[in-house]
Amino acid sequence: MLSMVAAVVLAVALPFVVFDVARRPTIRRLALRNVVRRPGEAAIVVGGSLLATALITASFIIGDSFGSSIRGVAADWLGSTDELVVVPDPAMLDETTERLAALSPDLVDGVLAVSMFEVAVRVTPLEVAGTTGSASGGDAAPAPIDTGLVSADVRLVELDPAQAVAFANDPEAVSTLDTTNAGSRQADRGPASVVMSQDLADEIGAAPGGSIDILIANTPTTLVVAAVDATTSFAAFGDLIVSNGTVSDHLDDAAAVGSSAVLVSNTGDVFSGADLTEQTTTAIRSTLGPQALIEPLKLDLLDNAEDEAAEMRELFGTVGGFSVAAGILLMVNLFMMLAGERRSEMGMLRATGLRRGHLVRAYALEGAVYGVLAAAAGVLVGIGVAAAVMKLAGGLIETSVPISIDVQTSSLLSGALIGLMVSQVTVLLTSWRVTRLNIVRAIRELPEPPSTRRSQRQMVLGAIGIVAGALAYLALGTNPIVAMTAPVLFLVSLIPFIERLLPRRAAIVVTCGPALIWVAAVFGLLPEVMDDPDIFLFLLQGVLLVGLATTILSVLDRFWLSGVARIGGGGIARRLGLAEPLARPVRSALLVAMYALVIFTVTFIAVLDSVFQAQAPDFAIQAGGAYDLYVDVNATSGINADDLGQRDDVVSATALSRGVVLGRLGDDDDRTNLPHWAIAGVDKTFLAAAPPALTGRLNRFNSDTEAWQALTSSGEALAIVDGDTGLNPGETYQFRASTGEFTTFTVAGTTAQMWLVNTSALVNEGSAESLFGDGRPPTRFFLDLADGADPDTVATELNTTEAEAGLEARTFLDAAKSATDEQQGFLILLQAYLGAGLLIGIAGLGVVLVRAVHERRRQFGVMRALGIAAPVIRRAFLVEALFVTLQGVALGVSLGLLSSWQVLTRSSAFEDNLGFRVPVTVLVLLAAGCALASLALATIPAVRASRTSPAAALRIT
Amino acid sequence: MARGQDRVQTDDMLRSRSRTRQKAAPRPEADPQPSAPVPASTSLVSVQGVVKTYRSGDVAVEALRGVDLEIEAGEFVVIMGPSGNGKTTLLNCCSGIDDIDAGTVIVDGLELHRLTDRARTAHRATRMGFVFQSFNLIPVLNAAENCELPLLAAGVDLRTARERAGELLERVGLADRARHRPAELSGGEQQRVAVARSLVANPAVVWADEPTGNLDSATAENVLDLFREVNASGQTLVVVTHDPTIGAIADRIVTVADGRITADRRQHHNHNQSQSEGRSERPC
Repeated sequence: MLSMVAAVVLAVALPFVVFDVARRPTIRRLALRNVVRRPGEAAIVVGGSLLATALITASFIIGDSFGSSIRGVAADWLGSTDELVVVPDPAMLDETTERLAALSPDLVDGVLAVSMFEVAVRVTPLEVAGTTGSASGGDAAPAPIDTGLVSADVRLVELDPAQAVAFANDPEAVSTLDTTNAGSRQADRGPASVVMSQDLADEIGAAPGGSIDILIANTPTTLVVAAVDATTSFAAFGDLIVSNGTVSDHLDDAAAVGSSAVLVSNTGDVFSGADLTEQTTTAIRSTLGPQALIEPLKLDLLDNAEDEAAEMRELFGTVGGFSVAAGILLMVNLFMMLAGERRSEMGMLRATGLRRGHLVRAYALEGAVYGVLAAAAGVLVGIGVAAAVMKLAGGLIETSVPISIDVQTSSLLSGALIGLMVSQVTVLLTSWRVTRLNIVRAIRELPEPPSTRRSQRQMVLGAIGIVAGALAYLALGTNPIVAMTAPVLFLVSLIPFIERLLPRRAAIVVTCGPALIWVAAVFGLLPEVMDDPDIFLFLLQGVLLVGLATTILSVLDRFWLSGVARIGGGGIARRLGLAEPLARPVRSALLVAMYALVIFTVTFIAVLDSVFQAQAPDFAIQAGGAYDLYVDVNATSGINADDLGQRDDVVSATALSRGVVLGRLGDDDDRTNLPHWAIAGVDKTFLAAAPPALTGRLNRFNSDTEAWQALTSSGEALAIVDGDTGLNPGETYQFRASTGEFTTFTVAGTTAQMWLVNTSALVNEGSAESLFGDGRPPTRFFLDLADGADPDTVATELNTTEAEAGLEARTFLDAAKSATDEQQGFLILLQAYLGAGLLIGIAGLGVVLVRAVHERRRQFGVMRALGIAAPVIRRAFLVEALFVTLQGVALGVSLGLLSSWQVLTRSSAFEDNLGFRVPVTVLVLLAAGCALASLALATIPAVRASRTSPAAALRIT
Repeated sequence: MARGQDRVQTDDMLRSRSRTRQKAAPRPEADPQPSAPVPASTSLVSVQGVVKTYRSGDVAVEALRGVDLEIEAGEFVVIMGPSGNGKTTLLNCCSGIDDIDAGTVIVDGLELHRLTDRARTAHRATRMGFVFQSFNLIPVLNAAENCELPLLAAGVDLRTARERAGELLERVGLADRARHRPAELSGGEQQRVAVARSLVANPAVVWADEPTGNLDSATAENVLDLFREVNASGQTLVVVTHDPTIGAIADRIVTVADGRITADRRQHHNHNQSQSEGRSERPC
């Protein structure tokens, strides 16, 4: 959308530029002469402009990269598979496969039957031939070497390799599997082969040619690793791929411990086949019946990739927007400085007959040259920034998706167009401003006198703003953006009118002050309107807060600074250093705002990071109640709650049966792709320890305990759901049983953070049995440990001793920390991305100071002539730099804290009122870092200013 | 009041007020290497054999070609001559703003170009005042702050500097404009502030380069009145100018042409008559 806007704007503006180049030699000469003869200036403007293009381009590339990384998973892990059809009865697998194979070749070009099992796996202990020190030379018992690494709960897939190769249309896929062992129990044939995923191989230390033991239903099976493959066409379904019968033939009741499915490949390639998902799903339901459980894996993944790409693009684009805004302020500042130096020249040009419009067009042409150069360079820098972010993301964000960079031409073009538009619009608006001058005063380099009366135009604009702001709020006040900005427009538009009654400073304070308070407090004042805010809203809030606060600060600087000067005495360096920013409020305000914008965002994110880090213990209690850890086992492990409860360090153990069912809102919910729900069944033993607290419950329950008791013991079809599901107490929801019938449940209560343990809803054990089907043993246990027992130690011990039973124990705290660590990694990534914007602020100050040496050369010469020593001038420069920096940092930090406090504690933007924490260490380091960087950058211009030769400087006329 | 007495009184005022928090003006550092003895001279400013050459690439321009000049304390000396013949260069070299290639410049007993840059700067702060054609007030400081600057540079405390600046501004008739920045002052007012600034540190000599060059005749006359007044109180003035009206009131006219002094003519005036004329035309 923004690219389209940029293209339109440039399509309107650039023809004028081209016309001037071709047909207006005066304008062309004026513009291009400045570019050629002032290469230093040109480099500075291009440098300042390219950063905006770089960040915009980088945000597009980052979005594309996340999206294509997920799309890559579609190709690598799913391969040809577009849909997965669950076959509840394994005995029906062959028949189902035949029926699906008969579907129209216009829709389906392949089907493949698979069986899946949850197993534990380890590298087969090695037997070392030879003695262990028998002096007599007799035979010694071999000493087995056990790697000790067992991976529990691994998915194993059985399939027909020949059919799989045909299905995947990939001769490499699983072709290394030995089909002759399929279905064989004969030991003399030797171990069967297996294709293993790279991740699992790394985890247990397996390698091609080595052997592994598969443990399922207490039955070990040894397999030879035929290949370790980072990506296979079936990687999404399991880490181990074997021929049919390799495992199932060794099981007494394979149907009880495994599951069956048919993979369906739509006609078309890996990506285009997903377009046929809807038709194929309809055809499958026509063939198998409306109750067929179909998962559109490919379409879901590709949709997820698109959503993720768009989300990342928006997130990084919005966060980067602060830096882009800072870059725009830098461009305005630079341009105004350069225009100030050329003021005399502009006056002479006007005196010789050029109109104001001619000057603007000359600047536009000059700006276009800078813009094109900046866009080209910015795109290249943007690629570098994106590459750095993606590399950092790979290290910070724990994900099974391999993250890699994807640079698309469309993104580069979009970034260049938007960057060019930003610079061109900035140049045009700034040049319109700077070319408004009095010819004589400009020629004589006399300053423009301050305007003493409000122009009629300002009054008209103010009136329009007042009316527009009021009407917008009344008509569209429920829109969050309008609700935030309309009152600001109204108040700021009052300035020209209030200036008739009060001095300008007072008029600005009495209008911008309330506007600032409104923007800062709007999340708390209008919680319903600001519910579920878009990330763009935070960007808008930040820009408005910084703009309003900087405006107020710039008109009040004189008052509080004079106080500072009095407190410290009249040090000449400090007086000179502070005098310059005071005397140039617009330029100082732009510099301060530049810093403050980026610091605001960094502070906001640092607060979020600090808050989220502290949430882990709370999350753990919200997910597990008084229980300390949860244990997941294979269905065939035979482990039960009594076994676990007998441990000395366990006070109570309760069993939960688990399964995945489809859910719908009601009988009239006719969606073809119903959502999947991870359900757990509990009985009254679940209340042996305090269960998780409820965030809401049915009115008829007077306490959480009543609600839990009703769930576990009443026999009613009740469910306690995770708050993220969007259901509220009292609402009804339907879950589909294994028979295909839907059962209506009433929401008895809601909890928080149940998602941490991959559970969406809890029902009673009886309801779970009817949903999952009889005979499903519990596969999860919650353990309440004795006082003094360390949950981590117990979990580690269980994982070590019971791994072969496919047991995985984990503390609720560990699960919570993993979740917050992932969030934290992402926040760190955003902060690093913002670092680029901070560079803009610091570099911008350096550039302005470098230009200031040239701009104020005569002034420095006079100071030296009057007897002001060189060190004094150096210190004055450093004071000036430090003043701007610290003002910007203080403003950004205070506004960032205020905004984040408001959002976290006074609004519904973040659920469950996460609390507020100030990351003191981070903010102190930030302030110190900025101050030191500014001082470092200001040192060279300070030295150059102090070395100004008075005679040479005074010769300048 | 006799010439010189006013200056002595001002000196006493300055010393007494800075006694409580005195930051001594840095003593100009002498050349660490032993130098030839400074020739004895009673002149306030003694210039001997000064040569100044400007080089730009292969081009060398001799701006001064062996200039000798002696200026006594309390003199009002005007340096005149065609444009581009070395007048401003001479002034810059005499005041220590610019370096010389040969010769000696002694001001108030110190050979300027043997001093370090730091010492020379400090010497300017304490013993010299400057008035420029383009006023050259610091635009970000108001009139009072511009006047205080030389005293602060000399290490005088803020309170004393502020009081002294106030006195000078009142003396030039701008006490009510003390808080205005240069952009808010007329050309004449700016130049009067510059004159006040040049006098605030009670300098040994005030150097003025085309002080009326950017002023209309009426305003120029006001500035001339100031010059007459300060000179009458004993202030040494050296003015580079094209303006003949300044030459008419000076004690001495030195003509510079082609980098040399081609004429040095003394004039005699009735200072009392001049003073009364000046008061009647005091600027409003």
